[in-house]
Amino acid sequence: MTRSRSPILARPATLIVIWCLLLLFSAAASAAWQYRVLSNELAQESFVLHRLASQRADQHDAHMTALSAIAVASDGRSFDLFIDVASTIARFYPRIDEVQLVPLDPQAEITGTAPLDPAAAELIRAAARASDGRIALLPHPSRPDHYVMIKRSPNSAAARYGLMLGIDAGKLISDEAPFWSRPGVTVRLSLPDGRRVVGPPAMPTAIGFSRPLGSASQPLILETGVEITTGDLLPPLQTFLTLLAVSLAYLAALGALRQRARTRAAVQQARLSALESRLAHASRVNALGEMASGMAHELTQPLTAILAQAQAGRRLANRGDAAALAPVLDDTVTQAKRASAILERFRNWSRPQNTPASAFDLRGALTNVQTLLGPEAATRRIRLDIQLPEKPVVIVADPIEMEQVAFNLVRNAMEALETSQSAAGQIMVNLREDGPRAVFEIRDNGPGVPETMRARLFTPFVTTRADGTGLGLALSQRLVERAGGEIALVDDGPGATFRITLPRKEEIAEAAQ
Amino acid sequence: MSSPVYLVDDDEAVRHALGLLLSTVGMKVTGFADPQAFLAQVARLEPGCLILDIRMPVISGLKLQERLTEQGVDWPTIVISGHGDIEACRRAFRNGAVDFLSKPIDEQDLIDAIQKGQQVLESALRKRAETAETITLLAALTARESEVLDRIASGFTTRQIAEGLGLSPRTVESHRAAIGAKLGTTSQAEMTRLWLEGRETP
Repeated sequence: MTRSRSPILARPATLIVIWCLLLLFSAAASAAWQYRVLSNELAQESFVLHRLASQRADQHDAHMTALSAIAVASDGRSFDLFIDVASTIARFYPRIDEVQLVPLDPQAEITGTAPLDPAAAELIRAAARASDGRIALLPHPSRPDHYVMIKRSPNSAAARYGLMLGIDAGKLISDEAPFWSRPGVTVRLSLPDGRRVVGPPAMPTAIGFSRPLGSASQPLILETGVEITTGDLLPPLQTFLTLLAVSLAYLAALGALRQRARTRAAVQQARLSALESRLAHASRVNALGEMASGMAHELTQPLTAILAQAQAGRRLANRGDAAALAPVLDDTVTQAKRASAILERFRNWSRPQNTPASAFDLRGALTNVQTLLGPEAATRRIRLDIQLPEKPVVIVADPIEMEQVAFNLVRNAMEALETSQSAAGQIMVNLREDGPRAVFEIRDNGPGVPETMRARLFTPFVTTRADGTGLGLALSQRLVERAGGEIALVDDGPGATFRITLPRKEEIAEAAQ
Repeated sequence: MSSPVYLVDDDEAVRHALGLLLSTVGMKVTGFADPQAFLAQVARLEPGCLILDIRMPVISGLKLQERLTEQGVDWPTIVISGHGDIEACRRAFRNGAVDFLSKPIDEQDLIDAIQKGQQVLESALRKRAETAETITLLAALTARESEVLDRIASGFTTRQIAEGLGLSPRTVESHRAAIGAKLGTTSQAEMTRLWLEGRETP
């Protein structure tokens, strides 16, 4: 039912470990998110680039067809028109930076936008001759980052020219998008047979995109990639802010938990103290109840005597026997006084218990106890011997409470002697001054306190008597401690000895100075 | 009306006051402060009415009542108590108490209870005395006369008795006359009653 405070909150090391784990986890989650963002971005940008490059490549087909037609039409005459068109194309499409028309006849003159070296011309002728009508793709023989498209013209077995378009691959795949200018982003274009045209020899392995261009004549392979660094995954500012937010949330959660634990502890404490005050009240009520029951029994004795004496007296009076009447009346007075003494005791007991502490002579309290319990001890054949010093022993406490303590202890002793069956029951109460303290001991020659009981002697509801409440000693201890004293069982058998030590008044005065 | 009253109560004032009260109505009261002292003396005491307090040290009134029964003391007992405890009351009556009174006790209740107890005691004593007398009478019969009386009480005729004992009817008649003289009656019914009474207390 009672939930204790969460123990985790009380272990700083554990809290720090949890915090670190939480930070690690947040960083990892953040990095994973960043990775996903990057790869998505790469895929998106690559897709756009791929479409753009494919469209551009398709344009080359149209240019080749047009140039081929012009070349065939100009056959045998001036190639000025061809050159014009080629120059125009190259001007509008800067990536097409070379157009060559190479007659298959090695003796004929080569027409082109730039001078062509014989080896390259021979390569073109060879490609054109080998062509089956499709455009051949080759790396540029002399220019880096370039590839060439070679087509026979006219496109039949009777071809007379090899038409060549030199393409700047870098421009083909250039894009204005800022993504491609980021460090770590790489793009590569290769010929279908895998020969690299432009781009680094090795691509980043982390995230990649690889697809042939959507052009029938130029299925060049476009590859993109991003080199991911720790800095990319964990951008410092963002990471710092994330971790800060996580830490703050963690602290807030801890604070809330601690607050809750504290509230719960306070509620628990309140419940405990309520319980304790109820217990104290119950023990007092119980003691009072016991007292009242004993009181009722004790009151019946004088009342019985008074009634019998009064009725006997009435008969004597009727008879006119005045001489016999006088002692009867004396006895009646005695019994009435006895009854009122008993009532006085009860009044003392039932008086509100929060009377302020006052200085009083402890001897008086013990004398009262003797008066209260003397008759009962006598009927039980117990010798109740109270030894008091000559001088007053003054302490500061509630006199009634101290009387109650002595009363409880003497009554316990009487109960113990009752069960012991020993012939000569004896209770010794001894009061003395011991330096700054007042000490009184209550000793009986009964069976003593059983070994098993000693540890729990002052625990409420622990009792050896079948009809006992187990509150007498618990209450006595509470009262003695409230008066700044101590109560203890002195272990010097054979009977039981309880010693109560209380600070004397002189001592209290000295301590206050 | 003058059988003694024994009061066992540990409270001296109560003992004296009740003793005084009862003495004013002419009763002779002996008080005992301690049940054990009473137990020690009871054998020497004249039969009387007992008043026992329940709450006493060492031996309670109820326990004393039981001890007395064990010792064969069946004097009428009045139990008095400061507590109106039903269980104690039940136990007192189960032990044969004449009455159970709560303290403080009104004189009339007490006197009534004692008188009732004394009546019980007297009738018991009278009954016991009568039985003793009968036994004395029966003891005066000879063995033969006892045999004849047995048969008379069993309802046999003189002739049947004579046949059963092998005597002449005349002899049986003379035995019968002797029995009548010794028991002081000639009625067969009265003879049977005495015979039965004698049988009840062997």
